[in-house]
Amino acid sequence: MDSQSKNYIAELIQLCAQGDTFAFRKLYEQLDQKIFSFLISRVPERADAMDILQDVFVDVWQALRKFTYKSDKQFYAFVFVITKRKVAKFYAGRDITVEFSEQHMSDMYSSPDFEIYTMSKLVNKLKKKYQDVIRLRYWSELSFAEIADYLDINESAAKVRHHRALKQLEILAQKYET
Amino acid sequence: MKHNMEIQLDKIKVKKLNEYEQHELWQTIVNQLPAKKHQSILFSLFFKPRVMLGIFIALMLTLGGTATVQAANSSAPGDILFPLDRTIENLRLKIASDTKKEELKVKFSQERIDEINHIITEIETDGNMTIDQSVKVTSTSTVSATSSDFIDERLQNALGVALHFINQTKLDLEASGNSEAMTQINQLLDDLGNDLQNLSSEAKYKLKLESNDDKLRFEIKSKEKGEEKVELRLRSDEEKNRLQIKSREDKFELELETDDDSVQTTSSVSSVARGLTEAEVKIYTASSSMVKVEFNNQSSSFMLASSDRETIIAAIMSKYNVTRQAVEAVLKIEIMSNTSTSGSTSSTSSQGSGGQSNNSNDDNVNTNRQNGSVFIQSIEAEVRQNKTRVRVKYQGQNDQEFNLAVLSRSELVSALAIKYHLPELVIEGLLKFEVSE
Repeated sequence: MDSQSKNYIAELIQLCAQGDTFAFRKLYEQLDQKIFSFLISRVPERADAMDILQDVFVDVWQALRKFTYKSDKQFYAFVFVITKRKVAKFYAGRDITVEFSEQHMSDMYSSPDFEIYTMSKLVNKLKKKYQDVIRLRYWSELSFAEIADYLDINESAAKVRHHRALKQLEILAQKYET
Repeated sequence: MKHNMEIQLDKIKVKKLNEYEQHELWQTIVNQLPAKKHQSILFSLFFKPRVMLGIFIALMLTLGGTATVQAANSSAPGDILFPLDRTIENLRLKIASDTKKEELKVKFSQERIDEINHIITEIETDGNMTIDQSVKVTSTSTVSATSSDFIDERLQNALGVALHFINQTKLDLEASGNSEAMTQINQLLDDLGNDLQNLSSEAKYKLKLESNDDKLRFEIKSKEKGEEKVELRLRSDEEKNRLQIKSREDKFELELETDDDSVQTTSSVSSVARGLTEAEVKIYTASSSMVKVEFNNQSSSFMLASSDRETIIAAIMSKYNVTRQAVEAVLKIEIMSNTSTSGSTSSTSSQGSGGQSNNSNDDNVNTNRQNGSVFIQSIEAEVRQNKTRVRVKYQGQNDQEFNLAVLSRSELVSALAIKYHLPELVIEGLLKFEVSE
C-alpha cells in the first residue's frame, strides 16, 4: 500500500460509497490477506476465518456509504475494529476453545510445528492489547507503521507495545516451562 | 540482537488465502452486497433497497397481495425482487397457523423449483448467450470466468437457495411428522431431478439430483474433463447448514449437511457404489497402523492393530466390500519412524524438552531409523500445579523427560501428536495420564 498514490485509498472509498464494486474489490485485495492471517490466530478453523472475513467486508461495504475519510490510518483502524467486533460476536455466548490438533495446524500454517502450538497458547494468555500487536506482527506480518495504523496509535507507540508484549511473553514462557 | 521470543514467533507462517479461496470469498461477498451491480442508476436514485422493500411491504399489507406481490412472487434468485419474494413468504409463514404453515412451506418449495425451471428455460433458449453474458459481466470485476463458464451462476445460486430451503422444510416436516407433506416434498425433488436430467442433453454439463432421507445431493458432471474446482459453501448461523460444491477431476458434487445428521451423511454414502479412490496406510508401530481411505469421495480413517500388509488389505476389503484389485490399485504404505522427528524437535525446541541429552544415543537412533523400528513404548504424564511433566519411554533407549504448559488430557494428546507426528489415537493408546494435587 506504500507504493500507491497518496489518495488511492480515499478515492477507492469514495467510489465504493457510490456503489462501485470494482473499487471495493481493490480495497478487499489490499486487506484480505492481512485480516485473514489475523483471524487465523483467533479462530478454531480455517473456514471460520473465511466466514468472519466475509462478514467483515460486507459490513465494511455497508459502512462505507456513511464513512467520512480522514486518513488511511483512520480507515485501517476502522476495518480492524470491525474485525475485532466480528471475532467477539463469533465467540459471544458460545463455549469455543481453539483446540490444537494436527489437522488444525496443517490447515492454518504452512509449516505446522510444535513451537507454533506452544507460542499461540502463550499469546492467548497475554493482555488483549499485547495480543493484538503480536498477532498483527507475526501472523499478519505487518510493519510497525502498519500496526500503528491498525491500532490507531503512532509508530513509536507500536514499537514500545511490541517490545513490552515480547517481554511479557518471555515471562509467561518461563512461568510455564521447565 | 533479536529477542529470543522474536525468533520463535518468526517461525509462524500462516497458510494464506490461495487464489481460489480469495476468488470464492470475493464472490460470496459480492453476492451479499445489498445494492447489486445490475441495478440501473435511475433506479438507485429513486429507490434505496431498504426504502423499496418498505414500500412494497406496505403495499402488500394494505392491498393484500395483488400485482406487486405477484411481480415479486415471480422473481427468481438473482432478480432484484427476489429478497422481497422471500420476505413476503416469511411474513405469510409467520401469520399462518401451524397446519397452514406446513402447506405453505410445501407450496414455497414448489416455487423454488419453479424458479430453477425458469432459469433453466432461460439458459436453454438463450443457449450459450446467457453463459457468455455472465462471463462478460463478471470479468469486468476481474472475476475469472471458470465458474460461470461451467455453469450459469444464477442457476447455481437458485439451486443453492432451493436446496437449502427444501432441506429446511424437510427437516421441519420430519420433526412434526407430517407424512403427507413429506411425500409431496419428495415428489417435488424427484421432479426437479428429472428436469435437471433433461437439461443435460443440451448443455456442456450433466446435472443430477439425488435425495435420500437425510440429505440432498446435487451433482454436476462435466462432459469435458479437467474442469477447475468450484466450491460453494452456504452457512446459516442458527441452523448450521452447510452447502458445498466439490469437484474431483471430472465430477462435481454438491452436498448439504446439517449438524445433526452429518454423521449419517457419511455412512449413507457408502451404499452408493462409486469405488475406492485412495487408501493410505501409515505404520507407526508393529501393532498399530492408521488407514486413511477415500471411498465414494468420502474420506475416513481407522486404526488397525497390525502392520502386516496382507492383514491391512483384508481389513479394507471387508470394511468397504471391495475387491482385492481395487485395494491394491490405490494402496500406499508408509512406515513412519517417529524417533527421528522427536530427536530433531527436542534439539531445536526451546520449551525445555531436552531433559536428557540426545547425543549419547544418536548412533542408536540412526541405525534404528533405517529399519524404522524404534518406537515409543509408553508416555507417562503427570499434572502438577501449572505444568505437566511428561516422560517418554523408548524401546531400548533412554527415557526422555520434559515439561509442557498444557493441563488437560485432550490438549496434551494433541500437543504430543504434533510433536511426534503421530495420530492422536496412537498417543491415546500410549499415554498414562495422572493428576496429582
